[in-house]
Amino acid sequence: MLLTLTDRLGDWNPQLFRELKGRLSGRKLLLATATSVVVQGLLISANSNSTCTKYVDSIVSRCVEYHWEIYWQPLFMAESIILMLLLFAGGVYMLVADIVREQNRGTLNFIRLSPRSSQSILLGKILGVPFLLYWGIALALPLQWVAAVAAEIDLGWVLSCDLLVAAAGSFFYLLFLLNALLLPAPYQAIAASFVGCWVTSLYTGFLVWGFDSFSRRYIGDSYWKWFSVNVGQDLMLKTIWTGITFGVASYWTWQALNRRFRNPSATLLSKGQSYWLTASFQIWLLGWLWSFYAKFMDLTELNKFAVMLPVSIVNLAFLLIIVGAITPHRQILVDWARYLEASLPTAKGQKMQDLVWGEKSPIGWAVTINLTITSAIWLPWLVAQVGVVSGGKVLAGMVLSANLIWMYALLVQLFTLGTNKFVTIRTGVALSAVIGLPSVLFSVLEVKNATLWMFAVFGSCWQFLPEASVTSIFFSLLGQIVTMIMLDWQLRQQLNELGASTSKELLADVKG
Amino acid sequence: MAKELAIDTRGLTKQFDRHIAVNDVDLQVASGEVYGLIGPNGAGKTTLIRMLATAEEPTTGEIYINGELLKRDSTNPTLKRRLGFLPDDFPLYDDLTVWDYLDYFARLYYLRQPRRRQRLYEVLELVQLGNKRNSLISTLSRGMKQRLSLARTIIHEPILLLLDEPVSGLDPLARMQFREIIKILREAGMTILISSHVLSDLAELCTSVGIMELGYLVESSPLAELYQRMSRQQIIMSVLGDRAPLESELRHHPQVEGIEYLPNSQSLRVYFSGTPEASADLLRHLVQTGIPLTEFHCTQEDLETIFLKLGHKQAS
Repeated sequence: MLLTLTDRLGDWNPQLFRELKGRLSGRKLLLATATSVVVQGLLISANSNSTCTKYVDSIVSRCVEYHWEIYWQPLFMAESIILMLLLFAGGVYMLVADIVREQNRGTLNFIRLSPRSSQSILLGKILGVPFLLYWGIALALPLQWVAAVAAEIDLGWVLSCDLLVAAAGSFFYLLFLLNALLLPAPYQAIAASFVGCWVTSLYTGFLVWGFDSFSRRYIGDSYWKWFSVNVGQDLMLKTIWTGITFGVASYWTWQALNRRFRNPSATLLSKGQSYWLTASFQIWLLGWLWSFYAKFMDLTELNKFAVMLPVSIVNLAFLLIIVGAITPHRQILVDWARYLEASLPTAKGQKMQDLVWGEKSPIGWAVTINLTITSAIWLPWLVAQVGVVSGGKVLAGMVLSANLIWMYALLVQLFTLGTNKFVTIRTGVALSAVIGLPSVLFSVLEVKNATLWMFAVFGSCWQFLPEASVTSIFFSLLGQIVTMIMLDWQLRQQLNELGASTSKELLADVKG
Repeated sequence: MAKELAIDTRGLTKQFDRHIAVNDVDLQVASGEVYGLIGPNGAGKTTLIRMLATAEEPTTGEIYINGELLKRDSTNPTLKRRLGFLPDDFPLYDDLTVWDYLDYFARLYYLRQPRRRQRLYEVLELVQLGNKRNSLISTLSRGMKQRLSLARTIIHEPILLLLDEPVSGLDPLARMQFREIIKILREAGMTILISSHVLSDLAELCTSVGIMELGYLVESSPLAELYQRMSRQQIIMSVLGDRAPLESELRHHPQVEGIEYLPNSQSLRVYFSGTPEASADLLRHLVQTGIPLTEFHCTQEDLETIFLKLGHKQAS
């Protein structure tokens, strides 16, 4: 019966079967069970106290009756944190170490060549590699629940915490696996487990937020709203909202992970996927600011603009991640410039379709669309907040910010065309310089000119716009447009050079 | 009727930066053929095989496997079930036993019981590892590991087998064992594309050969046709005592095109343009003139000589 079951499991997911086969020896299972039981015993003893209630007097006084008291609430808290730590730090370590080992040994290549889907292989890894850890944790769950019941903690909250730990765990596993595939360095596993420890401490804070340790139930937080939904007030809403957030984040990470596993030279996301991801992230982010504005209805116009600065910075970080995820590397662009573009039908519509949706085309148009989606989601609401009169300035602020992000994106694309070994580092340094240096320079030189600031320093427009003149805004925009045209021209030139036939070079040499 | 093509590439090109590894290759391999790919290191053999095995995406061009187009940006699961690829390096899972390793790959290729068990026994017998089935992979010799890799490659009964330098680094005995296995697979009707620097092996195994140089497929033809076109007939002759009288007789024969002295002082290699009947006449004439012949052996130039004659150099 068990054999048939194992066999069926192996047919359904050979990778899971292979991982379990290497790990499910009786000795290893016994060791995991014993470790779980011993740790539980230690936890109980650390959170209990025994006092003697009856002594017998003989030559020396001897205790014959004890009162043993377990401090259930601290026991529950300690065990919950340890389980989370094991899942986040231990599980991540095991998974990342395994994938790095397989990647460096070259065995993943054979699995890639098999007809099994990447989803099936990766699922097998995620379920199978940390299986003994899951087993140990599963054995410890009953004690967690017994402790919760004995401490009279609201079981709904306990269930919510366990579900949210599972949701967050899935997301971090996928994220760290993706990171390990991108950079399969030997230190990745240990680094990931350190980050796992840090995430545990942060997430513990999030889970106990709104929990009252005196009444032992969730009392909520009325300030936490998303759009007009009072997420923080209700435990069910908090669980569903956080679960969906992690679910959506896991979905996109899963997409990138699968693409990368199937084809190590592919971009992390397709251009089409990036549009959906941008839309989902912007709606998620808008929900936060919506409730923030609603809370502070009496904000001055100046402050309403200033609030956009942190939003812009979050968006800059997010869109740069998107740029990184959709930028094809040099070889793909060389192929595109040399062969694919030439093979496309000459109709303009089809060329455009390739630039908007194609897997291998440059990112200029895709970034434009991502920025348009972002603006389309934010603009109506922002104009409604500041009024039609200031609406023009809001629009200008969005265009100024979008232009700068577009320039950064094109800069990334230009740098990835380089042949240098340290392309990633060089791109990072150049990008940091372009984003950070102008503000440092203007501050040191005490430049007060709003046009210059708005033209070159990301986010500064939200500070200057309420007072800025139309001329100043116009010249900032003009400067940016000229720079964009130059960057675009430069990219086209480089692509043309890369796409040029090699025989042309040879013939030139012959002529020379 | 023309034989169905197992491999058909059209304008297949792979470019790495400014270097074109495979350049506009049109390769046709008929079903059931054993096709040998030869050429110096860096000629593009491995890249070509990797593209056929779906391990590398072509820059441009098309690949048809048994008439079915290999789609770009797709996982091609159906086609992958028909392909077996053995690369020149063969990382294995040292922590698994031979049986568990093959069982794992059989499952990856959707083999179900009871066929899976039967197939495992079949391939273990074929690669002569039946007695090692419960051994850990880490305890196997290099030759055994290579045979195990071959077993993994054919476990799902692919119709097209792609072997990249399969005998590199093997000792002569292991090489011979490997060659025998390929012969059995050939007899079973599998189409095999094999790249190797050991041209004597290819001459023994292949029905057709292709020569690659600087990314181009510069020659592709059946081995018999290549021999007919490129190989000169030779007769190895040995005499008792002095070879001068023999040499003198040969110099006057109109169909003798050249004579080469072999290191052995009593033997000669004679390049002969006549038919088999003419060589029989030559033998009769030499015997009648009293030349004490001890050897008269008709042969032809081997693949290595033809390859070098074509102006290609085997070493990189």
